[in-house]
Amino acid sequence: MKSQAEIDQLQVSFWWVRGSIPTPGYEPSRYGGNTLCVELRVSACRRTLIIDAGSGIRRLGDDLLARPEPAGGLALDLLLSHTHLDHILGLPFFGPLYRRDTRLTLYGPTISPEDRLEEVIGGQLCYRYFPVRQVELAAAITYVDLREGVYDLGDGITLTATYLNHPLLCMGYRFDWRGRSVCTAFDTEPFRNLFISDPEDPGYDAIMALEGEQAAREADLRMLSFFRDADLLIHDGQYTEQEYQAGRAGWGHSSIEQAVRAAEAAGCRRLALIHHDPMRSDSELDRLSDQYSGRRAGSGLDVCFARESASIRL
Amino acid sequence: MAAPDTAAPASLGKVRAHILRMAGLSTTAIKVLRTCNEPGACANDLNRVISLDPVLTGRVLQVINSAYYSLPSKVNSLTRAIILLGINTVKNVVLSFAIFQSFSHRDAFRAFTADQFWTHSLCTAAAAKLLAASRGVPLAEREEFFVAGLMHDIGKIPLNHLFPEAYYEAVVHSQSSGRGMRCEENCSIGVDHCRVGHMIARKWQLSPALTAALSDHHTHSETSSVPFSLVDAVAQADTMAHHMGAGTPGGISLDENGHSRLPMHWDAAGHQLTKLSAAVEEEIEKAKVFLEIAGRN
Repeated sequence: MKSQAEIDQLQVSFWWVRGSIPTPGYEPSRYGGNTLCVELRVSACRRTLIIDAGSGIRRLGDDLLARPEPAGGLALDLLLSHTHLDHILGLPFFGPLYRRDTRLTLYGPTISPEDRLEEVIGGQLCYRYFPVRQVELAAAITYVDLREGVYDLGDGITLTATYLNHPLLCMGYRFDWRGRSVCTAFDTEPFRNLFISDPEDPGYDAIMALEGEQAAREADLRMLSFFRDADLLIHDGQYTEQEYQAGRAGWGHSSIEQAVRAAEAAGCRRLALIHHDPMRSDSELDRLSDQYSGRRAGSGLDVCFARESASIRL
Repeated sequence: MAAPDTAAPASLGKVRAHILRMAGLSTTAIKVLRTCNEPGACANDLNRVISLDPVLTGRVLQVINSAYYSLPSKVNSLTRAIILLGINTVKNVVLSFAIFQSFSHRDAFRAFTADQFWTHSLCTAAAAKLLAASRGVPLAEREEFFVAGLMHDIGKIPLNHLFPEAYYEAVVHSQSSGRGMRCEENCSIGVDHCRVGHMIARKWQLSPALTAALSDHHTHSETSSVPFSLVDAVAQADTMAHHMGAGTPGGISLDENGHSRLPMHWDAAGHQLTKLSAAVEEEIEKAKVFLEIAGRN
C-alpha cells in the first residue's frame, strides 16, 4: 500500500540521455548511449508524460507495455522539444504505437503556420524510410502544434512552453503540479548578441550591435524567469566551458558551467545535466561528475549528471 | 486612418488572396538567396539583406510576431527577430517565401519597376531612420523607423500586381491631375494602397505603430509628439523621398487636399533637407553596392 506522500510524487526517469546521435557500444555503457527520452510520471492521476522520442523511447515503450495494463489501454502524452533527428528517431520503434488501445497526444513546435507537426512526424514514417506508414499505426494519435504559452493538461498539470535558443525552433517545457515543478531545456544555449560588436570591423553597425545586445540580455532574463524556482531543471550540458568557447558557440548547446549558472540564478533546487556529448566517455563523465555534482555552496543547488535508467522523485 | 472596408469586394477578395502568397522583390532576390544559402552568413549580412526588401522584412516580422511566439510585446526590428529566432530559422523562413516567383513576374511591375519601388522604399526608410536620429530617438530603437519607412508603400505591390492596367491608369491620372495616388487608386480600383497596407499589417500581425505607418502615412497630421511616432517619421520621410525624386512608385505624394506634406520648416530651412538628402543618398548607394545591382540601373 502506497503512502499519500508516495502517491503525490512526481517521478522523472531518464530513458537515455545522450545528445546528437546514439552511441552504442562498450564505452558509454553506464551513462547510456541512446538519445534523449525522459518520462515524467504523475502517480496520483496515473499520467505518463514523455519528453522527446530519441532512440531511448524504444526501451520506455517496452517498459510501458510490461506494466500492469490500465483499463482502456495506455493514454500517453509525448512532448517533442523539437524535431531534430536525435529527438524523434526512436518514435517508429515505440511499441505502444502499434496497439489499438493506445491513445497518444503528440505535442511539438513547428517552424511556421504552414508547417504541420503531423506532416513533420509523418516524414520519417513513410515508405522510403520505414516499412510502416503513419496511417498504418494502430494507436489513436492526436497531434498538437505547440506554441509558446501556458496549457492545461488536465488533472491539475500545467504545461508552460517557451522557445529555447537552438538552430531549429526548440521548446523548453515546464510542468507544474501540486506546487512542484520540473523544467526541461534539452537543446539550448544562452542567447547572445549575434551581431558584430567590434567597431573596427568593416561590417560593424552600431544600431544592430546595441539592439542585439539588448535583445540577447532580455531573452536570457525571460529564460531565467521560465526556470524560476523549479524543483528540477533538466538542462543541456553537452560541453565543458572550454569546449564551448573553442568553436561550439552557436551550435545550440550549453556548457555545464552555463547550465549551472542559469539554474543558480533562477533559484532552482536541483539540476540534472543531460544531452551528453556523443564523444564523451564514461570515465570523462565520471570526472566531470566528480567536479560538479552535489550540493553547491551558497545557492544550495543540487547538481547531477543524468544517466540511463536513473530516476528522481520530487 | 485607412478607409473602412466598404468598397469593391471583388477587388478586396483578390487582394486578400494575393497577400497570402506575396513574394519578395526581384531587385533583392539574388542577394537574398546567395546570403541565405551561404552557410557562414553572419547576422549583420542577413539583417542587411533582408532589410532591403519590404516584403521579406514584413514576413520575418510576421513569423516572430505570430502566435508561434506569443511574445508579450511586438517585435518591430529584424535584429531582435534574428536574436530570438536564430540565424538558421530566419534564413529558412526567408527562403521559404518562394522568392523565385518574383523572377517570373517581373512584368507585374507595369506602372513602376521593382527597382523604382525599391529605391523609393529604401529612401523613405533611410530618411525615417535619420529623422528619428535628429529627434533624439535612442540608437537601439531606430531600426523600427527604418522598417516602417521600408514597408510604408507595401500596399502598392498587390494593387500593381493584380490590377496592372487600372493601376497604370491611376498613375497617369495622378501625374496629370496632381491628385494623390490614394485618390486615383480608389477611383480606378476601388481600394487604395494605404488600405491594402492596413490589410497586410493585420494579416502579418504587425504592431499597432507599424500598422499605422502603413495605413496612415498619407492622412496623418504632422505632430511634434514625444516620443517621435513611426507614422510621423514615415509621413515626413515619404515626402522627402519624393522631393529627392528617389524612385517613382506610382505618382506623387500629396495629402488629401493635394498639398505637399513636406513640413514648412523643412522648406524654410533648406539646408536641413539638403543635409539629410545627402545622407539618404549615401545609404542608397551603399545598399546598391551591397546588392551588386548598381550596374543594372
